[in-house]
Amino acid sequence: MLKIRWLKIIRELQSNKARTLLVVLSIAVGVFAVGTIVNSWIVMLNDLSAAYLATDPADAIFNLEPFGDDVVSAVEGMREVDSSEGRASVVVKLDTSDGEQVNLNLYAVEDFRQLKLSRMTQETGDWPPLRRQIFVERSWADSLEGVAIGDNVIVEAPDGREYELVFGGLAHDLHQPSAFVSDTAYGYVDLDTLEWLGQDRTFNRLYITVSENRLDKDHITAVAQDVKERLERDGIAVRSVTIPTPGEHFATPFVKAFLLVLGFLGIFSMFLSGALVLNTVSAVVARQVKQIGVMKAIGGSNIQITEIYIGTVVVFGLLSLSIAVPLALLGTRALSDFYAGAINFDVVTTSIPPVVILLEVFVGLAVPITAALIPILAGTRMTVREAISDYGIGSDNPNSLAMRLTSGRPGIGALALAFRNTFRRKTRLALTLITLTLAGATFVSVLSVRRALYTSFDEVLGYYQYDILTDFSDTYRFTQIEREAQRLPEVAAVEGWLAVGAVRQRPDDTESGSYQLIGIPPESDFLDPILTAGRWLSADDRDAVVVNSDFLNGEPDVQVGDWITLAVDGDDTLWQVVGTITTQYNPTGAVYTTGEALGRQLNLVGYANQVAIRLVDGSPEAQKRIAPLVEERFKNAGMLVGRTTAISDFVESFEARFNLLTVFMLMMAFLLAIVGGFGLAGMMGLNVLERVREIGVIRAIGASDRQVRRIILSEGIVVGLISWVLAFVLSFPLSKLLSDGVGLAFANEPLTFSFSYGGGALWLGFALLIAIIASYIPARGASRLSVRETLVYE
Amino acid sequence: MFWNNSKNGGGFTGKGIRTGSEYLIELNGITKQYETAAGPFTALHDIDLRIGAGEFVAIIGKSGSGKSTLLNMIAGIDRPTGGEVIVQGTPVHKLSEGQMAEWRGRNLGIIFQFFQLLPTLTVAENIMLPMEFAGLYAPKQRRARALELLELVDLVDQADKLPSALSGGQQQRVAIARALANDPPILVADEPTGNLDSKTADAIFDLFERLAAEGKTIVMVTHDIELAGRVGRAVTVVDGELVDEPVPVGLDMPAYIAPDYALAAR
Repeated sequence: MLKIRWLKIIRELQSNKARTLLVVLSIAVGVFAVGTIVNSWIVMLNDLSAAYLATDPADAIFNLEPFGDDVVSAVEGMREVDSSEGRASVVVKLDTSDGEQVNLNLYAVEDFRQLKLSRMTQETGDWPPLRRQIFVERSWADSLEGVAIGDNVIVEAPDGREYELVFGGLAHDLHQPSAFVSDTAYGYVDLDTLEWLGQDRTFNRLYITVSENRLDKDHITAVAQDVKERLERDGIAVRSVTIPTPGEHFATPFVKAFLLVLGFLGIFSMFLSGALVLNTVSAVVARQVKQIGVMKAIGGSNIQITEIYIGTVVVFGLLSLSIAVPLALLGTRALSDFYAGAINFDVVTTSIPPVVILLEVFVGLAVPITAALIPILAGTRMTVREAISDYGIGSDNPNSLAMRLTSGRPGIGALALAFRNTFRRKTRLALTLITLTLAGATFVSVLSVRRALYTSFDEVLGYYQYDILTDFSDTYRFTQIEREAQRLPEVAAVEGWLAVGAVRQRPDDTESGSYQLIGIPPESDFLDPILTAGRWLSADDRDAVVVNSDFLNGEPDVQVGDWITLAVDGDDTLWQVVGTITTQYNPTGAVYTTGEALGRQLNLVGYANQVAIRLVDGSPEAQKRIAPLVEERFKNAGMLVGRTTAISDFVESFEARFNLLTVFMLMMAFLLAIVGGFGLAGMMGLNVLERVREIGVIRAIGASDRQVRRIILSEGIVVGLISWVLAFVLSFPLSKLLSDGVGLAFANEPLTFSFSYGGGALWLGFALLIAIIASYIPARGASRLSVRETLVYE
Repeated sequence: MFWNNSKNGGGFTGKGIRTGSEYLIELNGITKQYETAAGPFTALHDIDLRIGAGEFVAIIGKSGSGKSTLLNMIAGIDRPTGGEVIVQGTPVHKLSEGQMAEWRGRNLGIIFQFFQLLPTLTVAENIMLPMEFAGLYAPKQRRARALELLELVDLVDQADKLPSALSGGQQQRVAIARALANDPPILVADEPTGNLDSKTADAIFDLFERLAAEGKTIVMVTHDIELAGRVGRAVTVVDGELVDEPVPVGLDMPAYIAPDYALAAR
C-alpha cells in the first residue's frame, strides 16, 4: 500500500499544478542549459579529435619547389622520418552552378587510395577520382547544386584556359577550412588529370610524419629543420613549412573558445535556475510550515517530515529531468551539428556521456534538494506552537531604507504600502532580483556583443577604402594595369600593390610561417588602418614596415623600433618596424612597407602584382557586377589574373558568420528573459498568497478591486525597476567580457567594445512587461477573493 | 481530582501523600517568557499542576491569560523557559523537537481549535497518518482502524472525502478521531469547540465526555464556562498564574466536582 506520506506528496503536486509547473520549468531550464552545453562540448571535441586522428594527419607539411618521387623516398629514408608523401597543389577556378567563379585549390596524387597521410574520404561517388574526373570537398556542395555525378564542370587553369572535367562526387577533407570560413574551395584529381590541365606532373607539397615523439611540437620542428636542410642540400628550395599543433585539428582552439563563451552562458543559466529553484522551493516549504507543525503535533518525526518534502523536491527534480534530459540531447544535436557543419566534421556520438548525466542529475536533483533543505530544516526546528500560530497579519518588517524612502510623503499611501511590501521578504526579494538581474544583464550583454560585432564590422568596412582587389599571377608595370583598369568608366581610382610571401628569420635561427609582405603607396587612402603603436608609413621611408596584430600573434617578441629579417624568395631582407595595426578580422599575418622600398628590394620598382580598385559606385551590387568586368578587361590585355575579390563578398561572409552567432545569442537572451519572468511571477504569486489575509484587511477598510490590483502591480514594478538598474550596471563588465570572448573565438582578437544602450532600454521595457504580467495574475486572483475568504484563508 | 496551586500555599495538594510518578501529568514550577518587541512577556509564572490518570480537566481563563500556553507545555507543543513537565514519567521538557514529536505520536492526541486537518489528504488518510508516523498497527490494518474511529465519531460515510468538503463540526470530529489514532492515554484539546456553533459544540463535548468515561485522560482549554462546568475538574489561569477562584458563573455544575471548588475557595 502506498504510504500516506507519498499520497500527500502526489496530492500537493496535483493540487498546485501552476506551482508544480513553475518549479519544474525552473529546474528544467538549468538542466537543459548545462546538459546541452557540456554535452556539446564533450561530443564536439571528442568527435572532432577522433575524426581528425583517423585521417593519420601529417606532422609537418613543406611547401616546396617542384619535386619528384625520388625526393619523397629520400626523405622517407631519413631516420627521424616515419613516412613521407608528395602532393601537387595548384589553384584553379571553378565555375559554380550559379554562374560565378570560385578559387579551387586542386590537390593531385598518383592514387588517392594509396594515400597514407592527412587522408580525405569519399562522401559521394566512386572514390578515387579517375582520369579527367574531379572530386570536390563536400562543404562546397552548395556551389555545385544541381550538378549530378557524371555531369561536366568547367575549370579554369592558371594560364586562363578552360577545361571540362567530369564531376566524380564529393570528398570529405578534414584538413581544409570549410566553405563556412573559407572562400577557397578544394578539389581532388589524379596526376594524369593534372597533366591534362597543362600542369607539370610534379609535387610541390611534402607531407611527413616523424618516427617518435609525435606529440612533441619541438621535436617535430627539429625534424622539420633537418628535412629542410636536407632538401636545400639537394637543391630544392623550401617556401614554407607548416607544423600543425600535434594531434589537434586546426579548428580545436576555435571550438574551445566558442564553447567557453557558451559555457559561460551555461553557468549563468545554472545560477539563474538555482536561484529560481531556491526561491520557489523555499516558498513552497514556507507555505507548509503550518502543516509541518500539525504533522509534528500528531507524531511525525523530523526525519519523516523531511522525507516528505525532500520527496516532493525529488519528484520536481525527476519531472524536470524527464523533460530536460531529452531536450538537452536535442539541443546538443542541434548545436553540435551546426558547429560540426561549420567546421566540416561529423558528429557520430549519439549517446549521452555518463558525466553529462551526472551533471544533469546534480543540477536537477542535488541543487533543488539543497535549496529545499534550508527551509525544511528551519521548519522542523520550530516548535509546533511557532509553526501553527498564525495570528492575523504577518509581522515581518519592511526594510528601514524602504520605510525612510516612503515615510512622510503625501499622496503615495497605497504605493508606499506596495513599496514597503516589496522589502518584507528579503531573501526572496534578493533571489528574485538575482534571477531578474542575471537575465537582464545577460540580455543586454548579448545585445552589446551583437552591437560590438557590427561596430567591428563597420571598422572592417572602414579599413577597405576600395571595392575590388585583383591578384595577378605575374607582375606587371603599374602604368599598364592602371591604363587597363581606367578603360572601365565605373572605375574611379586605381592603386598598384606588390605582395609577396615572406618568412621571418627569427633571432633564434628558427623560421616563422609565411606572412604577406605588401608594398603600397605610403600616401595611400585605399586603406584606413587602425594604429595600435608607432606610426604609419611615410613617403621617405626606405626600410620601414608596419606589421598587423596577426603577425604579432606569431612573432610576439617584435616591438616598434625592432629590426626584423624577412626571407623573400630565398633572400634575407632587413626591415625596421615603425608601427603596428589591428588585423581586420581577416586572419593573415601581414607586413606593410612602401611599394618603392619593396620594389627596390625585388628589383621591381614600378611593378605591381595586385590592383586595388575604387569604383564610382561602391555599392555591393556594383562591386559584384563590375568585378568580372575588371577581370575580363585584364585577361583581354593578356594579363594572368589569379583572383578577383569584391570586398562586399568578404564582408558578406563575415556578416553571415556573425549573424549566425548573434541569432543564437538572442535566442539565449529571450530564454533568459522568460526565466526571469518565471522568477518574478513565482515571487509575486507567493507574496500574494502569503498576504491574502492582509489583502482582506485592506479590502475590509475600503480598498476597491482596482486599488488592490494596483498595490500588487506596483510591487511587481518596483522589483522590475530595481532589477533593471542592477542589470544595467552589471551588463557593462559582462558585455566587455563576452565581447572579448566572442572576438577571440571568432577572429582571434577582441571585438571593438560597444555597449548597447538600446539593449538597456529594451530590457527596461521587458522588465516592466515581465513585472506587469507576472504580478497581474496573482493581483487578479487576490482582488477576486471576498473579505471573508481572505480572513479565514489557510 | 488532584491539583495544586503553590501560590495558595498548598491546599489539598496531596503532595506529601503521592509520589510524582503516580500522576500521569506533572508540571513543576513552569515559567514561560516570550521575547517581544516591547520587552520580555511572562505568559506563565511558576506553575505547579498535577493531573492523574483518567481525569477530565478543563483549563479556563480569559483570552491572553496563558491557558493555551499551559496546555502547550503539557503537549510539548511549546517549551517552558523554566520548570519541569513530566508526563507518564517522561521529562517532556528535555526532549528534542524530534523526540518530542515521536513521543507525542504514541502518548498524546492533540485537537486544535481550527481542526488542522491536512487539506490534501482524505478524512481516512488524515487519521492513518499518525499511525504511519508512529509505525503502529500493520499497514493493512490502518484503514480498518481509521474506519473504526470514524464510526466512533459517526463519520464513516465521509471517510474518502477531503476535509474541505466537511462542515466545521465534522472536521473537528475527524480531528478527534485522528487524535485517537494511536490510542494514546492522553488527549489535549485547545478550544475544540471555539469555532463551532453551540449545538455542534455540545455534540463534540459529548464525545469528550464519552472518551473520559472510557478512561482517557483529557486536558481541554476552553473559555466556555458552561462546558467547563461539565468536566471533572476545572483550573483557572489568570495572567499566567493558577488561581483558586471557583468558576464564577454557571453553576449547574454536577455535584461531583463541587468539593474541588469548595477546596479551592478555602
